[in-house]
This record gives sequence, C-alpha cells and structure tokens, in this order.
Amino acid sequence: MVGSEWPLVYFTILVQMSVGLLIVSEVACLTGGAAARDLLRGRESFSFVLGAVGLAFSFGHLGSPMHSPFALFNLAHSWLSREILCTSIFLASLVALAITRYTATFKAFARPVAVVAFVVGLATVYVMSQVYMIVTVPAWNSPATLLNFVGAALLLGSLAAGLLAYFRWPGEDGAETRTPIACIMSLALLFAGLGLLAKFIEIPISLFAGLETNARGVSATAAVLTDGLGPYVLQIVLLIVGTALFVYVANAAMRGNKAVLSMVGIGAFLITLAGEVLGRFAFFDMHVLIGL
Amino acid sequence: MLKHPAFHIDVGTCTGCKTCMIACKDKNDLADGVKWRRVSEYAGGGWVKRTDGTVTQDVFAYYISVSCNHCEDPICVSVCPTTAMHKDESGIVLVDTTKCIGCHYCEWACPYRAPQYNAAAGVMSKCNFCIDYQREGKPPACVAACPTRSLTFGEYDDLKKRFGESALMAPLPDPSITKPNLFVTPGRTAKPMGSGNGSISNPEEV
Repeated sequence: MVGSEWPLVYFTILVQMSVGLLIVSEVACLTGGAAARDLLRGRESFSFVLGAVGLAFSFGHLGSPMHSPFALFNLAHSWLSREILCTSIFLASLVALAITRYTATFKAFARPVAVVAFVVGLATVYVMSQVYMIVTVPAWNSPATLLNFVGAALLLGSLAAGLLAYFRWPGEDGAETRTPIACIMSLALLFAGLGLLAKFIEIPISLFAGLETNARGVSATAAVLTDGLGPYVLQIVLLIVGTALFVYVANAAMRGNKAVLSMVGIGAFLITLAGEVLGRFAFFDMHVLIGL
Repeated sequence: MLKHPAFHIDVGTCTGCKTCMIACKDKNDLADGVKWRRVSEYAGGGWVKRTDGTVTQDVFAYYISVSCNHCEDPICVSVCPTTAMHKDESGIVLVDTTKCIGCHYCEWACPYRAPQYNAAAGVMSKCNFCIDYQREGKPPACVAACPTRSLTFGEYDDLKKRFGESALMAPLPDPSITKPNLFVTPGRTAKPMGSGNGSISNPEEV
C-alpha cells in the first residue's frame, strides 16, 4: 500500500489537527478569559479550513466520488459511514460556531454550539480510529490506532493553537498580554506533551500488534522495520525535534520574548507535521491482512 | 437457482492448474490484475530429526482455489459505507456498481481478498457466483472448467451432507470471522489452520 493512500494520510491528519485545534483553543479560552479569546479569535474558522481541506483530500481516495452521497447509507454497520457523518457534522458545527460568535442575533447560541462542536470533534477522532480497527488487520486492530489519532490531534492541535496565539500576540511587555499568552502556551505545552506521550505509548503497541505473520509470510512490523526503517525512525526524530522547538518558543513567549522566534515557531510546526505525515504513511503501510 | 449456494474444494485432488482462474477471467472478461478466483500455492517444511539421529525432510506444497465465499457474515458487506456490497435473496454477495464509491474498504477487510478494484470503472468488483449461468441451470464457469473435478458447488446443506464439516486448514483464515459458504476437504499434506509452517509461495499470482 506504499504511498497509494496519500489522500487518506492528509485527510486523517488534517481532520485530527482541526479537532485538536478546536479542543486546545476552546480550553485555553475558557481558562484565559477575554484576552485569550482575542488572541485566538477566528480559531473555529482556522479549524474549519483545516477540516474542510482534509475532507476534500478524502475524495482523492475514491474511485467514484460522484457516488459519495451513498456513503451515508450504512450508518447501522459501517464505521466509514459514521466517520463521514461525524466529520460532516463537525464541520457544520464549526460553521454554526462562527456564525453564532460573529453575528449579534445568534450570539446567545455560541456556547451550546461550541459544546456540540467540541463533543462531535472528539467523537470524530474516536470514530476515525474505529474505521481502521478491522478484525482482519492485526496491526491496526489495537488501542494503538486510537492513541495514534488522539496523539496526532493533541500534538498538532496544540502547536496550531499555540502558533495562532503567538502570531496574534503583539509581543509587548505588560501583564495584560503576557498573562493570556502564558496561559495559552502553558495549556498548549500540556496538550502537546499529552499528544507526544500518546504517540510514544502507541508506537510499541502497534509494533507488537503487527508482529503476526500472515499466510503470505508478511508481517506489518517487519515491513516497517526493514524497508521502512529510515522513515519510521525519522518520524520519531521529527516529532521530538518539532515538539522541542515548540517548547522553546512557548517558554520564550511565556517570558514575554517574541524576538527572532517566529520562524522557529513555524519550523516547529512544519517539522512536527512532517513527522506526523511520515508516521501516517507508515501506519497505512502496516495494512497486512490475515488469511489469503 | 439454488436457495443457499456454496462451494466445495477438494485440496487433495487439486493440481493447481489454474484453469478455474482462467475460466473465470475469460467468462467475466476481467481486466489485467483483477482475479475473482485465485489459486494459492501453500508450501513449506524443513528438516526433521528422526529417532535414530538422522534427518529427513517434510516439505509440502498444495493448492487452494478460492473466490468469494459468499459468507454468511460477510465483513465486506458490514464495512461497506454505501450498502453497494450486499447479499441478495439467495445469499450471493454482489456489488451494486451504481452505488459503489470505490473506497476499497471491502478490499481492506476481506481475509479472502475477494473484492477486487476495477480501476477502469472506479468501483469494486467480485465473484457473483456466475448468477447468470445459475439462472440458466448451468454451473459456474470455474466449476465447469475444473479438469480434476476438485471444485464443486451446490446447496449448502447438500454439500455438508456429502463432504461433512469443512476442514480448518492453512492458509485459510478462521472461518468464525465471516462464516464462509465454503467446504474444504484437505489433502494428505494439509496443515492445520494457523500452523504457520508454510507460506503462500505465489503471492504475485494471487
């Protein structure tokens, strides 16, 4: 399956990042008050753009995209139907959130809509993991898949939220701007740490789950640790380096220092994203069926 | 038309000639790379120490011809998001190509690799048990073509009476996952399911 599932690589990562951005930024706004909300304004729109671009990528995977409305026909049994429904509701709730937040008429509905978006976002990541937890694919059919997706959502969402606030932050010295950026960055660091932890718990579990050799003599773990070893190790290095750079940027921001760090922040995000993309390609390469 | 059709394969008499594969491809005019029926060669073995200290070999090879088994609990049907993959009134698993989105999810999940992607049409395709032949009272093309009569088909209950319970044999997956309508009679060298001492030696053909 090497490389052939690239639309799904970008679809899953972008939707997970979209959910992560919403979760981290909403929690940061709840704790950071009005100033934090100002630094993270437009967060639902950024989240929507990420999710919508991700969903657009998913069409690249289909042989007959014109038939895609039929994809909601098997909600009773198919996790793929449920994934499409959840992703669509999540994106619709982000649109509703933007409308309720930025139009005076509907402002009263903003909070309940935010709760709906938050819950549906979490459900989307869960349902997305269930799509791949197929009983006939041992390497995917383990808790590692859920940890992988939750980890990606938290890690990329934290970096995206942190950077969004960081670029909005004027960098002036003063308690009125330093307190909210410190609040946002400390939460982003917490969630990024949890995301990275999930990834490091997930990696050994998925390698263990993929040990089984099928009738063709193929093992998912052997496949990624032989031909795919270079990219597999590189994804881990990139995740660590990207997160470390983000820790540096976040610490500097918490100390009120914005000088020379913008490029480092962008670099941290892109390096971490590259690590996730490599890791997701490895995930799809671990599709090894039991049986014939 | 049968009420509950099933296949039977006698592994002991199958020579691996692949006439069934060719007959299927020919009858259904399948594109390059699309194989609704596949003949796997399962081979393995090694050196075995005898009680007198000498060694001998226990190499083996046998063939198993498998198409869609039109399972009772088909994983392709349950995972399909569109309901394009469905069972008809006689239990034959079919693809409704007017609904299929070509997402490959059925292909990812089926342990028999029955659903095959038709790249030209952008939809999945699979064995339809030669439903048109069956309506005309004729056997499926693969069954009719088998020169050793290793492949048969018929009513599930009749095959069960005739051949008994299906053997749990490598390299077939655990039948409890999908409950295939397939009866297998093992050959002399057949290895039990999951024994792991062999592998499919012609993966590029199947």
